[in-house]
Formats: sequence, C-alpha cells, structure tokens
Amino acid sequence: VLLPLVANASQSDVMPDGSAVITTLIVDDERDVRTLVRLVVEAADNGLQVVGEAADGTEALDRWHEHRPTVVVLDNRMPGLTGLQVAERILAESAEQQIILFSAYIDDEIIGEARRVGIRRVLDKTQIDRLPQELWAMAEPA
Amino acid sequence: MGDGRTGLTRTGAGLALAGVVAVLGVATTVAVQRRLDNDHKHAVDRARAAVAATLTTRIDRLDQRVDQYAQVIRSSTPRQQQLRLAAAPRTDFTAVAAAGPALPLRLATAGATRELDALRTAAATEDVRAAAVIARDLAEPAAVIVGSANGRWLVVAWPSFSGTVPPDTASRRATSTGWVLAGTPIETIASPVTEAAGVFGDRVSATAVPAGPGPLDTVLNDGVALHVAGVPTESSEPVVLTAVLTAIACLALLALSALDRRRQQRTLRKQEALNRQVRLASQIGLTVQESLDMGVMLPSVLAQAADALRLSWVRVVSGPTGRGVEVLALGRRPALAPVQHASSDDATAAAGQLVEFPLRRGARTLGRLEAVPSVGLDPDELAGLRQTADLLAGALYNADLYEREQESVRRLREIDELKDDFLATVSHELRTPLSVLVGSVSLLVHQWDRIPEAMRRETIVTMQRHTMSLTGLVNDLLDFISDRRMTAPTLEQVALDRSVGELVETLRPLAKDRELHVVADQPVQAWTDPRAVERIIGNFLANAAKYSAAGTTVTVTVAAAGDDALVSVSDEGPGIRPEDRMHIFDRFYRGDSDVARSTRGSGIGLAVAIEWMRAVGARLEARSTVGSGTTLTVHFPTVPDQQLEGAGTVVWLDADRRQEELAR
Repeated sequence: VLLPLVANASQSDVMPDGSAVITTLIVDDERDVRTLVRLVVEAADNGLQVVGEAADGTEALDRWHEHRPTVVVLDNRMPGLTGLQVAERILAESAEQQIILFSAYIDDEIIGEARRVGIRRVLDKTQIDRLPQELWAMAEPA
Repeated sequence: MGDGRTGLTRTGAGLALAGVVAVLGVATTVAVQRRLDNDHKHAVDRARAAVAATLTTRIDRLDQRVDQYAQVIRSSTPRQQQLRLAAAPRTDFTAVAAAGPALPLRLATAGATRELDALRTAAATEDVRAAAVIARDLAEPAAVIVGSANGRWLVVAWPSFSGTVPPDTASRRATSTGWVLAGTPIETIASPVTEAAGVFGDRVSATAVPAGPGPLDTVLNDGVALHVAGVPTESSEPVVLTAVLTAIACLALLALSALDRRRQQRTLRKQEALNRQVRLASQIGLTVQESLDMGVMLPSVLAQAADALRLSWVRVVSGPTGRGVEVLALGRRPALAPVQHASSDDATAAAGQLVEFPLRRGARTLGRLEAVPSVGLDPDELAGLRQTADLLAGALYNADLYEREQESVRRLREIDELKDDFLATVSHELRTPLSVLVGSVSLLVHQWDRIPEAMRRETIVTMQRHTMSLTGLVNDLLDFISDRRMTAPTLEQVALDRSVGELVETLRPLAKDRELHVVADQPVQAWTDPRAVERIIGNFLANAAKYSAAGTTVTVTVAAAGDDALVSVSDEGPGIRPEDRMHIFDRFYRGDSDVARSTRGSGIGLAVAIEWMRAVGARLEARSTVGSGTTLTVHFPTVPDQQLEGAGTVVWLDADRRQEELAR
C-alpha cells in the first residue's frame, strides 16, 4: 500500500518536514470553477499544489501524462469525453491513480458508475471547501 | 230401380274419380319411395318443411271457414240446414260443411299444434297417409278409406274403431287394433302401409288386404273421391266433412307442391343470404375488434365484404360528404357507374351500380363506403353492406381515437424523457453557479488574508457573474413552472432604448470576453410589460454570450420600424442548424450539435421568451446562417391595443427559404 505513494513522492517535491507534496490536476470545462478550485487548493497550502488545469477530457489525458499528479480533481459533465470516461482511461493505464470525481450533479447512478470505473472519491461541487481535506486524506496511506 | 241405377252410376263415377286419387297416391308413394331411396335425408327434410308449411296454411284457412259455418249453423234451424245441404252442389265444401250442426264445433276444437306433428311425419312418408291422419286428428273418425274408381282403395283405421265393416265391403279384415282395406295389389301397398304403422307406432295398426267394391259413400270434389267407412250413422257427416277436408289438403298438397318448391328455394336462398350476412358481420366484427390499426383492419374488412357480397370494386373514403380522401380501394372501378344512395330498407342494387353508404358515428359523418356489385344485390345483401358500413364507421372512429391517444402518449413520453433530462440539466445548471458562489464565499471568509488583493477582486466579479446566471435561471424556472398561471402582463409605456440599455449594462458580466455593443440612437417607445423586455432580451443576450466564442461581438439594437418598436440581438456564433429551427423554442430542446453539448443551458429559456412574447403581443423574426451568426429581432407594439400580425410567432428569414412556425 505504501509503495505507490513512495513512487509518486519520488517524482514530486518533498515538504521541509519530509512529507510528500500532493500534486493536483484540475479538470473542469468551466474556467471560473478551475480558478476557484486552484484558489481554494493553493490557499489551503499545506502540502497541496496545483500542477495543471484542463478544460476537457482530451486535454485532461495530455496533462495527466505530462504531470502524473497525486490526485486528479475531475468534473464529470464536460463537452467531449465525460469525467467518468476520462477516469476509465486513466485507471486503465494506472490503476493506483487517485481521482476525485468533483461534480455538480451526483446521483446513485453516477456513484455506482464511479465505483465500477475504480474512482474512490466522489465530491459534490457545492462542498468545494472540503476539497483540501479530501486531498490530504487521499494522500495518506490507508 | 232408378235409385239403384243412380246409386250405381254415382258409385261408378265415384270409383272412377277415386281411382285418380289412388293412382296419384300410388304414384306419389312410388316417387317418394324412390326419392327416399336415392336421397332420403335431404329430400325428406325439404319435403317435410314444404308440406308442413302448405298444410299449416290450408288448415288455418279451413279453420276460418269452419268458424264461419259454425256461425251459420248456430243461427239456422234444422230445416234450413237440410235445405241448404240439399241446394248445394255436392262438390261444394261449404254445403257439405253446413250439413252437420255438431261438426264445425268439433273441428274448431282441434288443436293445430298437435296436428302438425302428425302431419309432418305423415307428409314425409306419403301424402295419402297424411290425408288420413289429418282426417283422424280433425274429426276423430274411426277409420278413413281413401279409394279410387278402379276398385282400389286404402282404409286406415284406428285402435278405437270397434264397429263392423259393412257386409257388402267385399274384402275386409278386422283386427283388434284397426284395419285396412286396399284395392291396390298387396305388394304395391304393403310397404307404405307397414311404414305408416311404424310411423304411428301403437296408435295405428295397418294391414293391407285384397279389396272389393262396396257401397261406400262418395263425395265428389274436383275429381277426387274419398270413401269413409266404419263410422256410426249419426256421425257420418263429420266424417264426410273430414274426408273432404282431407281431400282438399291432399289436393292442395299436390297442386301447391310446385309452388312450394319454388318458395322453398327462395327461402333457402334467403336463408343462405342471411347466413352469408351473419357470417360477414361476425367476420368483420371480429376483424374490427381484433385490430385498432386501420392499416391492418381496413384491407381485411373490405376484402371480406367484397368476397361475401361479390363486389367488383369497393372503397372507403374518409372525410365529410362530397369531399374526403380515399383511404383504401379494392378491385377495379368501373368507368361510369350510376350512383345509388341506398337509403330505404327494401332497396336493391343492380350489377355495376355504384352504391354509397355514409360512415356515420352519432351526428358525425366520418366518410363513406362505396361499392359496385358484380351481381345484383337484394335488400338483404344490401343490408349486409350497410352493416359493414356501420361497423367500419365504428372502427374508423375508434381508430381515430386510438391514433390520437397513441399520439398523445408518444408526446407525453417524449416530454417525460425531456423532463428527466431537464431535471438533470437544471440540477447541474443550478449547482454550478451555486458551487462557485459557495466556494468563493468560503474562500473569502476563511482565507481573506492569504489571497492577494487582485485575486479577491476577481473572485467577487466571478461571484457577481454567477449570481446573475443563477438569477436568470431561477427566473426562467419560475416563469416556466407558472407559465400556465402566468399573471396577465401589465402593459405600459416603456422607453425601450433606455430600458434595454440598462438591461445590457446589468448583464454585461455575462458576455465576459465578448464585445457587447448597444445601438440605441433614438428614443423608442413600446407599449409592453417591462418584465417581458427583461426576460426576452435577457434570454437572447445570455444565449448569444453562451454560444459565441470569446473575442466575437454581440450587438443589441433598439429601433423603431413603422408602427413597431424592435430590439434585435446579433451574435457571431455558430448559427442555428436548419434541423434545429423548428424546435429551439420548444421546452427542454437543446439540440444535439457539438455546440449544444459543449455549452450549458436548461432548455427552457427560449420557450419562456416565446411565452412572454405571446403575452405582450410581440413577434419574433429570426435570421441565422450556420457558421456566421444569428440575429433575433423582437417586434413590440407601440400603442395600446395594437395587433401585431403574427403575435407570439416565430418567422425565419433566410436567403433561400422562408419558414413559419406557430410557436407552441
């Protein structure tokens, strides 16, 4: 369980206290949301870092390959590929990738689909202020 | 001497005439025998029916006459009765009947039903025996002898008979149960007589014996003689009358048999026609019942009717009288057929004639059934066609109802699906600005000091923009939810240039990176509801900003055009695809283009705008070119009670086509 984190940490910066920096990729078609997420994450500071943004699924895959972030904060409803489709492709390549499905509309169907795909966290967009805690929680070993 | 000679002559003549009957009887016997042998079952059935019918008629008539004579005799003295008898010719039935005072009364009490059963059986076996049975049942004689002039006769006696056979009846044989005298050679008569005995069971015993001449009373009636024997003297007249009645029945039987056959054939034909009709009705009824789909049902019904009624052409026309659309036609229509509107019940139709029946349901005429028969149709067959028309009318009506029902079910289902999408969309649309607002507020509250001044400012502007889009969406939703209960618009004088200018400034944040121009050079007055202007133009503006790319220009123009005041919103967006034009003003419709998928929207904004236009009597002109932009122009009335042509409608103006749609 520890191994992937170590592998990730080896690619990332390390905090002065020795803990790994949690790098984040923000995927959302709404620029205002991306900006806000970045602000929230960066203001929370403590080990959280935004390494990239993507406005649609295709761009998200490119950025993901480029940055290999600790966590992908992924909107679902986007033009082109949906967040779930993007997650499916990412997890096919790297099953250990941490993904938060960060959606404005969540129902049982979406949660079920997210589980099937292998996403372990689903967060309602209106709970954006909880995002930093979620990110920290995901980086901790289970 | 003279008496004796007269008696002898009379007897001779009587015998001669009786011979005719016997010959007829025998001939009939033989014929019946052969027919029975050859084709017994059907022949017997048919003969029974025919004979029974004839005899029923005859007996009814006799009953009437008997009643008449009962009246005459009751009002006569015995002397008058005797005179009447003496004066009457012997061949006259009425005179004979008048002879016995007791007679008519006895006959009148004979039950017709009881007679008929015996008659049917008898008639099927042999006419002569039928006659005997009639006689027995009508007058209750002890015995009846049917004889002929050539010395051959048949006597049928019943068990009740206990008298003596007159001594001068040369050949005779009495049994305990009855007896038969026959002048016919035994081998000829034995079979039907034995058969008769079988038919009547223990009620009759019949035996054939060699016959001889005897002083039997003879009554002449149209050349047929009947001999009655074994009857007590005092009741001889009833028996004589009985014999006469029998003779008449026999004659009627023989004389009417040809007529009966024809009538019987007619009855059979009628029966067949009726059967066909019933079959047709039940077939068609079943088809109609089984299918509500006219496409399946109609060809089947018309084919059945054409087959059963031998129609060379038949068709159904739907629509009002005199006009209408052909729904289906079978067969080849004759070039020119005289028209017959078959209305009365006894109407007939000739071959090649065009018959028309209206297809009515209540007071509504749904169409008509037209047919050309290949053979003449009698009233029954025509009734069958009328019945078909009635069934079809019902079917057309039902199919129409069904079709409408299906249509509304389809629409409801469609709307239901759209509503599901709508709910998901609206939920998403509400939550996106809401989450931005929540997140921004939380950020500003908790991290105010850690965020640079410029970022704080940007965050607040973002919040303002999202507040606006949230407001717009909530307004749309409220308008939409209450659109059936939309309060009457409050119409007033509105300075359109100013109100639109203010609106655009308020909504400017929505345009974000697009250029937003307002062209309102002169004061323009409109007679409308300020809310309508806000909702309609606000929606158009939000759409223009939403669908066009950053860096492009959105232009809002306010101008006066003739009696109208107009506001137009132009963008340089992707344009509206022709296939979407009919629907973009429908609720929930968002199209399925890439552009529609990549943008957000509830799909009710334009529908709400149209509602407002209808409420304030404004109309819309739309012009769109795929790839280069869309211009939506609203025409508002400028004075009270001004009726704009096409208020509440959308007119698409195009270089190559003009299309109008009544907005729903």
